[in-house]
Amino acid sequence: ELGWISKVYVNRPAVVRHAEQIKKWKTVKGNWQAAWLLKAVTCIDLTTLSGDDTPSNVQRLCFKAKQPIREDLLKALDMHDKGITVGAVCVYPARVSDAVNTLKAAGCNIPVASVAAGFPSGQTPLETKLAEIRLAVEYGAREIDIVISRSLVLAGQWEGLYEEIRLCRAACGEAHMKTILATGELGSLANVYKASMIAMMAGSDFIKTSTGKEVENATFPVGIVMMRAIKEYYWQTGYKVVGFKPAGGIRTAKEAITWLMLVKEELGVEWLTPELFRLGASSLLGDIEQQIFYHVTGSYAPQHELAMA
Amino acid sequence: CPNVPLGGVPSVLGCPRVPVGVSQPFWGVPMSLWAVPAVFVCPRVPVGRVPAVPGVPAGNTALVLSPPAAAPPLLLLGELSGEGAALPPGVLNVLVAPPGLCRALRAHPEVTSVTFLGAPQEELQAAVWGSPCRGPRLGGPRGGRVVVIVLDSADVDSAAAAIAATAAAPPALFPWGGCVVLAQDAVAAALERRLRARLGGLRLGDPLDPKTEVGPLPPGTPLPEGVVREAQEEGAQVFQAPLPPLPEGGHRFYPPTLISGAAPTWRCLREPAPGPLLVLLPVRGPAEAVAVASALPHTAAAAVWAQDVTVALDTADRLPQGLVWLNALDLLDPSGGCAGGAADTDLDEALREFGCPPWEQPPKVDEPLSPLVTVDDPGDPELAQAVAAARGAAPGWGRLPAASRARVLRGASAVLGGGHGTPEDGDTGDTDGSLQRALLRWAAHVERAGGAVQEVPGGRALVTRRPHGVLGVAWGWPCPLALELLPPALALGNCVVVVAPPGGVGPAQRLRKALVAAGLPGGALAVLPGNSRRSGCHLARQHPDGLWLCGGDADCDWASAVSVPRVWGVPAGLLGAPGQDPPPGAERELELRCTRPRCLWLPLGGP
Repeated sequence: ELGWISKVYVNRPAVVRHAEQIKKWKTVKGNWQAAWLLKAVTCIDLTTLSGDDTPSNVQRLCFKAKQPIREDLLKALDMHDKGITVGAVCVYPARVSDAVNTLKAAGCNIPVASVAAGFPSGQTPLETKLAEIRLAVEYGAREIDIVISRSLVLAGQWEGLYEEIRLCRAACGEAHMKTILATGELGSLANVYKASMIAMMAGSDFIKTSTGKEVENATFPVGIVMMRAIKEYYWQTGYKVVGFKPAGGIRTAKEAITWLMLVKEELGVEWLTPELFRLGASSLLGDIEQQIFYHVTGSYAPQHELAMA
Repeated sequence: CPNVPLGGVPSVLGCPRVPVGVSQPFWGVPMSLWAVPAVFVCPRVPVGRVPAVPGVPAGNTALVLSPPAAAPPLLLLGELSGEGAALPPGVLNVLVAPPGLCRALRAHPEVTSVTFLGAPQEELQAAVWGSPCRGPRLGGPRGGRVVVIVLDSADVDSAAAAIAATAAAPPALFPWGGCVVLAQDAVAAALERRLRARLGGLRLGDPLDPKTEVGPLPPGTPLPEGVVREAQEEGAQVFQAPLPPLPEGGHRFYPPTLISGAAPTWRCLREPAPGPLLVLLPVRGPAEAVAVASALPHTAAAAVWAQDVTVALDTADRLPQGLVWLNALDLLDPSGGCAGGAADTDLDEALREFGCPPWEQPPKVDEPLSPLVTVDDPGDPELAQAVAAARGAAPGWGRLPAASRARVLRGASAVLGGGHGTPEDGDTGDTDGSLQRALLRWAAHVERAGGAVQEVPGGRALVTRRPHGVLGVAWGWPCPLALELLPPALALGNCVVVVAPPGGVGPAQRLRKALVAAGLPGGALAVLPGNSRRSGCHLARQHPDGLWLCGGDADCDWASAVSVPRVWGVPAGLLGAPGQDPPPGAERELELRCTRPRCLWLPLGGP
């Protein structure tokens, strides 16, 4: 439906002003803060995407994913029996089988998400992208984070973009697909909005802000624009809800809570579940655990107290 | 009671003493207190501006009269101003009394200036101020609504977010009356849907709680129930967000309300209503939006949302409001030029009201203008015709580039100097060339004056001055030099209708002939003979955009003038004696009186 994106206008200063207001919101305190932090933990996609990932560090990550917050802290909050784990574990395709085996051996049902389609630049031929996706699904990944070709967006070739994402969706099969828009490289907020709409029309289950490897990753203006696109898509179709994942640059617990508040304001409470909202982060979990430690004990933990991911 | 907001109730300020020694232009006066609200209690609660503060830095003493409901913050201010010897005793006085006392205050011989603050209430003004107009200097009401125009190339999401935020917490300068939204047909449905979603999500609560977005209504203001009910009966769709459980404390809350499909004949558009009320009208295009926005009463500021640059700037240019934002709302800054409000003043003008200029003492004039002959007043039909012709010529003349207007004035000056035409019935003519010099001076001025670009937080503000439109001049005896008021008025783009006494008709007609010969459009200047004693009232009844009363006996009663936005009693000493240069500051004063400010905010995007 090209008509839906032909009349998109986004006023950048107004969106930036709105984002500045958000940073001034008073954050929650006390028990509510702990509750929101635990909610944030359940929405985290615990990620390791380095060149030097090996089975050993992926295994460590999977165990941390199973027990993100220390047992005694959860017991103090009376949340130890609620099955608090992260939302997913996100790794490169070559490490998917290690992750899947570790989690199976640990008896844990957390899905493994794989990045695919030429992550992070997307500058590979379409055939290899589709092959990569099929292999990742074969290895056991239940979620696939694909990367779009930014060149198609910058050239305004919306039908080409739609076709590419549609083929990737077909290749994913039963797996759930997140489309990474790499918003830092798209040039303007209007392009971000249009790319979001195309991605949703082509069948994405989630749209994700960035690969985490760009200069500018998830910022509030970009998040606001993408969430407005999601809402508009929901209104236009009448039923289709697509999830949102900001990734990259979210390092502190306060930022995580601000993102949750922003989702609640722009999209509504229905989006505050791991099925419709994820946070792509790696060191964020450590900061959240610190804040929960502080809430329970009244002081911050030294580095060795909390298990590393 | 820090959470009792101001605004919405009238209060009257009088200056019982004129300061001695403030005889120069006012740039030496500290301006800091004027533009910043002195009492800005809690950003969630609409707070009006404390009226007493502006006059005090200019050296006057102030007496604030306020009704009991709005009194506590003012009394607190009075108390605070005495503490620590901030102000000497007697400089700021607060009196809590019913509005009937205003009349007595105005009639008091030592009161020199009266300002009215709060909701625009014309009936109260007229009743208070009675007549004649040449009593204490009058300030207009400040405050009004914000008109938001959303065109089809707008970022509808951002516009909805900004409008909802304004409805919830109106800024300090416009605490009254919510927002009127004019949306182009193509985007009206999308905008309405987003507004409903946003209004539903606003948080009502205790005004001192930083998390609330919508505070209670000011005390003493009526609930807008009647307005909303009338709209519902007429068939509008009214959306009201459900009220959450409300905090204690005797506050009155009203849920954020959106009325869509309203018509200009309904109460919700005719008068500003307190509370978080949004009214949505569909329009067919930018031209219709400008027409509707110009016809709404009590609007203080406007916003145009459109990404198409040409359309946006053109629409913003045609709007009559003094403060126009482009793709933004509620950006306010003291350095930004225009203080907005129904009186449409800016910093310069506002402070000038509170000081005593050097031309209060008229210069000596040797000969009277004419023997005391009374003539018939121009009849109402003649005046109506002249004003209608002027109104017809006003858009063309006002929107001409300054260079063209300057050319006409120069041409007229040349014609006058050439001595065309013969003097009629004993007029002295322009023997000393002062009129010629005035024409040339103002031609040069208008070519240079283009406005200023002011840096403001978030971008730039274009501050320009625009003509009023149609000016009516009632020229009386003795004011021989009223003819020299015409060059500035015309040069700056106004069209003028002059009612002149017998001795003045001749020179005025001569000037008119010279101007028309040089290219002035026919209706732009009209000269009618008349008796100044009543001509002021007759002119006022034709509803010009401004009324100037020159001469001691030119007067007008307030009841007639209540519809005229600007009434000015021209001080006799403003133009200096014949043959002499005008006093310093006179040129600026004339420029301020001939034009009104317009501030166009252009937010510039960050990276």
